[in-house]
Amino acid sequence: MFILMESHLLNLFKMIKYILKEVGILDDNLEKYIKMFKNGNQEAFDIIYKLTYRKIFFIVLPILKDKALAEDIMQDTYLKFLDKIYSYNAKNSLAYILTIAKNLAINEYNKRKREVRIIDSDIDNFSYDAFLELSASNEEMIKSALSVLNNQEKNVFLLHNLENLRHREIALILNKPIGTITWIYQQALKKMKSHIKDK
Amino acid sequence: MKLRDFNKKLQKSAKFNIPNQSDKINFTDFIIPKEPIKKNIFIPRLLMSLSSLLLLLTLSFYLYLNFTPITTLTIDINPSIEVELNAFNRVVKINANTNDSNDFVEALDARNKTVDDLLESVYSQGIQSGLFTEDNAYALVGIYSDTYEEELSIQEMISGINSIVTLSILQHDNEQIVYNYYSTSRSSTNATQSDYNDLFDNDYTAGTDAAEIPEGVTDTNDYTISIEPYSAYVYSNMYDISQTKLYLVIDIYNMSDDYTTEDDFNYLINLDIQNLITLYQSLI
Repeated sequence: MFILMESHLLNLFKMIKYILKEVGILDDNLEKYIKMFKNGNQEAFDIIYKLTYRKIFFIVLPILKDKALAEDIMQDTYLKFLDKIYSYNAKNSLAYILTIAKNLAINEYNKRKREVRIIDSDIDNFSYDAFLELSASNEEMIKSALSVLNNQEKNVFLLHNLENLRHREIALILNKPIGTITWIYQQALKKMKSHIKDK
Repeated sequence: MKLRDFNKKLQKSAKFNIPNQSDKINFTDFIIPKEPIKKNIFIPRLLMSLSSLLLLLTLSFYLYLNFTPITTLTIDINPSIEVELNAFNRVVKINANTNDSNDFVEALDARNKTVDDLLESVYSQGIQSGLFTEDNAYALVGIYSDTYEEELSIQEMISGINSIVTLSILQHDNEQIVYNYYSTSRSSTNATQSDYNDLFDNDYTAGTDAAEIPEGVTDTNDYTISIEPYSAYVYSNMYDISQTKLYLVIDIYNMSDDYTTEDDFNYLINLDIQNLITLYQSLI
């Protein structure tokens, strides 16, 4: 009984934490660490990096479709951000960093392909699951479950459930309104539930 | 399988392998060294504590001033009421001064009103109770405060009221007779009604036998009366009138040659406020 109560309490805390994160009350507060870095705190950079590098990767990857190249652009993004850190005046630093990353990725792509591409429609056709590393024990089951989702649903599902990103962060990465992201996520959940309930 | 179990398996078995390469970025070139600002936290804390203390003291002082009666007014409109005012000249408490004024006090909504608003309420309530008519309203107001200036300022406020004809009697104008006011609710004297005889006790005559004269009462001249302040409380209770009305009656009795006997005095005591004020004004 004690274990049951403990599990209920844990779930309750998780739910409260999730709600607070979604409404932006409990935030990791990127702005705070940027301010600390500007004030000369060197350790703050590691935290800024930790809070943003995976998001940068997810915005760059659909454009370049190359993991190594995406990692290079990720590093370039930080250099450019550091170069502008004392002069920019954006209130949402995450959006600012992601915009730098996206522009650098588009420039890099154009440099290599020498052609103009419509990036947004490409992102819709892109799926992160190709870059997903799976352990052998559950590989088949996960692939089968993900196969019921279309590319957009897969992306939103993986970013939310695996990367624990918030809907508003996913909206920034996939360049879509939050309402659309929520709708796509709901559709993905429905499909997924109906697929796995018989398993 | 439930979605929760699937998510657990997904978290356990799947990952995007994105390396953290923060150590490869040489960010030190971007750090502008700043002199650490030594914050003296003692002074802000001290200031905050002091300002909090000051705020608390101000609030306490304000509450003290707001709830402590400084001035007492007696308002006679035939029933008599007693009003206690705070330092801002607003009503703190209102009491019935005589037995017939309880209903009037209960109907009067006077709490926190200024003196002029209070008198306007008295006027309205007086009309409702049938004590006044619209152009025939008289009130005898006794003002009892620590300073003469305070009494004068309240008298000035009262004199601005047009709806009621008022006669104000200040404590400090009558210092020879009254130099302190004993409220019915906070009697400062140990004397009780039984300690005193009637003002017109037939057993004594002026100057004949001092031992027979009731304590606190002297009949200094023929047909003149003066009372000591501590006995005023007892006599006003005895006649069931306010002390202010008692002083006015004694004043009229002393000033006029028409009133010389106990019956005359009793007649004046029973006269209504309108007639007393008119009589007083005719004598001065």
